[in-house]
Amino acid sequence: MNHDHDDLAAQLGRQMRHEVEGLDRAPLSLADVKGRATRIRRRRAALTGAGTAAVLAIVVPMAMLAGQFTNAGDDVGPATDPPSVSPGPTEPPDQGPVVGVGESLDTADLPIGDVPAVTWLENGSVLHTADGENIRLEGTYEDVVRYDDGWLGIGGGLAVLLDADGAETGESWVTARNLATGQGGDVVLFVADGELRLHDNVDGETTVLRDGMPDTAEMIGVDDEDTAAYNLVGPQGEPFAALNRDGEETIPDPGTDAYVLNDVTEAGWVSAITQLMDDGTCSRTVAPNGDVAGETCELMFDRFSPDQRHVIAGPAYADGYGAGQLAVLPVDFTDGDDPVLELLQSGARDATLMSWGWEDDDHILVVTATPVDGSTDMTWQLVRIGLDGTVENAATPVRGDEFAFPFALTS
Amino acid sequence: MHTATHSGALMAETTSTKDAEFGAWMTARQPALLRTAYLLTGDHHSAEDLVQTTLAKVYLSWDKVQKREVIDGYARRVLVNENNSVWRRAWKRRELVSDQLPERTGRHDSYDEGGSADLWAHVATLPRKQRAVIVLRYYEELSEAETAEVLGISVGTVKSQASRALATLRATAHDRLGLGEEER
Repeated sequence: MNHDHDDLAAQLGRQMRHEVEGLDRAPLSLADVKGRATRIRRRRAALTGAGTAAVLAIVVPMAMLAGQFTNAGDDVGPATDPPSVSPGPTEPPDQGPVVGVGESLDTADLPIGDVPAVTWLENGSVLHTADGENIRLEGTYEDVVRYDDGWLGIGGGLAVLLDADGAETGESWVTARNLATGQGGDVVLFVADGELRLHDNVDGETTVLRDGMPDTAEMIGVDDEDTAAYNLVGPQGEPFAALNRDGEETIPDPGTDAYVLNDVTEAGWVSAITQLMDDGTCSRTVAPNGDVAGETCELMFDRFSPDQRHVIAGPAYADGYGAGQLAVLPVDFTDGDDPVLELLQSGARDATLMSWGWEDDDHILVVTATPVDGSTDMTWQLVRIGLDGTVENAATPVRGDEFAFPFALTS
Repeated sequence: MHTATHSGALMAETTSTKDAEFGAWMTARQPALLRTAYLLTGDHHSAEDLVQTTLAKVYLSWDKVQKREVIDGYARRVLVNENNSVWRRAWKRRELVSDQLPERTGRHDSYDEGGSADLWAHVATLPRKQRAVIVLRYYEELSEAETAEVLGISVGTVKSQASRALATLRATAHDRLGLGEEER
């Protein structure tokens, strides 16, 4: 640490001590603490055995939530049929590395396969499109999506309009945490200077769904009926879901249940956190007709596969650096069922799973970071994993520090 | 029946002893935990709630922690990680992005006392993990290794996070507060 940092650190220390000077209160009684302890103990018990009753208590609100997207009884196509669970081929492929269910992902010496079939960002500044184009962007972005004939990038708290060649057009807005797309990328949901905007790439029209959007909002998705789904943050920092159709915002349950949406598909499948607890979460998948399809407190349902037969799932309790667990589950998974794919980090030198997404119905792409021996650096990789367990690089590995993030999957 | 009555009496006695020991420890440690919680959360309500959950978790683990001399460190670890997890469990994906802080060029700064007060206000804008590193390193005055142990991360990450946090605060001071002049 240099001299400047030493000075600033010392001043920070003094300032922090000043901030809490005189804060000598002890407002909590033993009864307060034991009461909270009892609630924690009950929740833990609910997780390990008697959790069914607690989860059932919110079946109705979740069904109502799904009903916001597609009316019950609507023809929603094959996705509403009970999915047949396919654990993947039982015969391993003849060649190449394979990861078994519940095994640690060995990222060393992986072969390099085809380039990703989806659009991705390299170092935030080179856009590799699904069509095989490589576009050097003017600026650095966290996410870039199609916008009319050009692109919309977000980075540094701004949404920036780019032309087809990746050059800035001069239009930009203060935005929120992220953006989302729907209907195969035909619509874009984003925040522009406090306005929640739904832009249609087909006709070029932009609809303002509401104003006063906070920059803490998280965009989730848009269904086929232009219902926008997003998460907001309450005054105590608690996240909650919101839906908006034609400018009318609905909070799925204004009561005590906390909902956080993780995915909403075009057809109306929903994955959502249904319970936030001191040491975990419970989440649920809901079919377009409102029926609860799957539920788990061991993992956290995340994004659906394009064919909506599977759902990717991360750890139920997300803390620390990256994730040490990732699974692909049938959409009707419940705790105790067999996952289609499950990766576990078994040691500190194993690959950490940093982010993930679907490439197609049968493959996921995972950004991994693996410690380099004798260094604090990481080997960053964009790894393609098939539902049959096959593993390969989808891009050349890159060495960088723990927060380099050279690969980013786009919305 | 006898066994049940005998067991019940033993359990009550054990609970009473546990409550007495825990209560004494809690009385002594609560103000310090509240101060750290306030620095981590930035508001009194959240700090109190965080301390209540922390104390409850320590209470639940009281019998498992054999060495009473490590209980303070254990409580600190629960406090910090609980604060991180409340936020992280729902917003994990976004933090991965927001952790990428803009690079700033090095500058030599001078700060007055008023500037320091404003500087503290900007600590609240740091990513939560970086803020935890700052509080543990420069308020609790833990070593890099101790900070790493509390947060469950590597010493290298503590160094890089602290460095990035200080760089961000320095840049904030210049950009928003107009403090100090760049020396050439």
